[in-house]
Amino acid sequence: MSYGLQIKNGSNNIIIDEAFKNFQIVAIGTSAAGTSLPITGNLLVEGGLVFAKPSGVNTSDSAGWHIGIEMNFYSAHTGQFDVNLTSTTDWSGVDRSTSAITSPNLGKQAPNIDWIYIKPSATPTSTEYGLEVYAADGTMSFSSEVSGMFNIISSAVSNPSSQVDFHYYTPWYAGSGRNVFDCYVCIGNFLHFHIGQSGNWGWGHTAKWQSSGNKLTLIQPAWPASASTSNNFPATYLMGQLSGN
Amino acid sequence: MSYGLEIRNSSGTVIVNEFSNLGSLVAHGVISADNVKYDSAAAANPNWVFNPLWNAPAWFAYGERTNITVSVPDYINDAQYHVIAVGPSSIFVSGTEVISTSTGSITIRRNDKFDSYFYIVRKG
Repeated sequence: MSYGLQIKNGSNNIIIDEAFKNFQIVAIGTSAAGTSLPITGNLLVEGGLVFAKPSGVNTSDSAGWHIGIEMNFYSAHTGQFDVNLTSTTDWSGVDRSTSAITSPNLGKQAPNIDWIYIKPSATPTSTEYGLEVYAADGTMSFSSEVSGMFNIISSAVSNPSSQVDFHYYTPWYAGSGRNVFDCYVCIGNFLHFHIGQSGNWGWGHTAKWQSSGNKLTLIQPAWPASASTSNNFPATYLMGQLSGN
Repeated sequence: MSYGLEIRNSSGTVIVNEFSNLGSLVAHGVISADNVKYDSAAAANPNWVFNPLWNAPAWFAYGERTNITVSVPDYINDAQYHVIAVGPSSIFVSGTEVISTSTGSITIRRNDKFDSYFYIVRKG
């Protein structure tokens, strides 16, 4: 670099510079299954991403926990989305938070979901202390005057080579020093079938959290079987974590 | 801490330290559906989509997979940078995937019946 500020972490990765804006937390919350994420109006930001993970579940349950998602509308361009966290009882009256789904192998559905909405910009404050970093165009890349930060920690790409129960399974391991139940998955790219062709949990991507192996299983629909050759595209998943965890 | 940078907010909460993996957005954008191919006649006749064999050829109802290369701001094409993309599938035609990346551009394969979106994210 010939000018500006560049900060690296202990892994020698750039975490703050003047080139690209850091993600800042816009909204954070916990919602019950069966509700839509309450992110509307002024909270919608172009380039925003939403992450989610199970909340308050028995992490030692060997069946594992997934979050059901029905994506009704999504626009990265405008930042708008309407994600319905599908009900734990919306399929044949079965309470899927107590009865594990085994075909496909989704485990139990989390009754509550922790979610975070992040945006790629910071809001200038009137404080006269702390650190602010601006990009060359004068917009803010980083501000220390926030309540917390969100880390982008990894990504994974599915290998849709063989399906089981019309789904592809891609494992991701949190590794030592990190609890997989602290890890969020970006659900902004979980959309699979367009509205009108979806209708239940089966047609969106999902993920399953398991303490055994400290593992996340990323689950991609592969439906219908007759279309397996044309519908087996590799999907990319993004994982994140709140600072301090 | 014994080395590195530590930043706290006015409440004393550590915002950044040497273990932080703060993410950044490098670029994002939309790749619009091919509205010339799938013109307003389809929008006016939604039954074509749901009864394609009788009312419209399959390609019209389901879309086709096409590659498109888009320009993005220069970025370093290494493991710190991730490209994610999203776009709907239809019954027989897949959604969106990233085909290749290079400095200054990315190539995405998408179902051209629907809008697709992409993000380039830098992890910490």
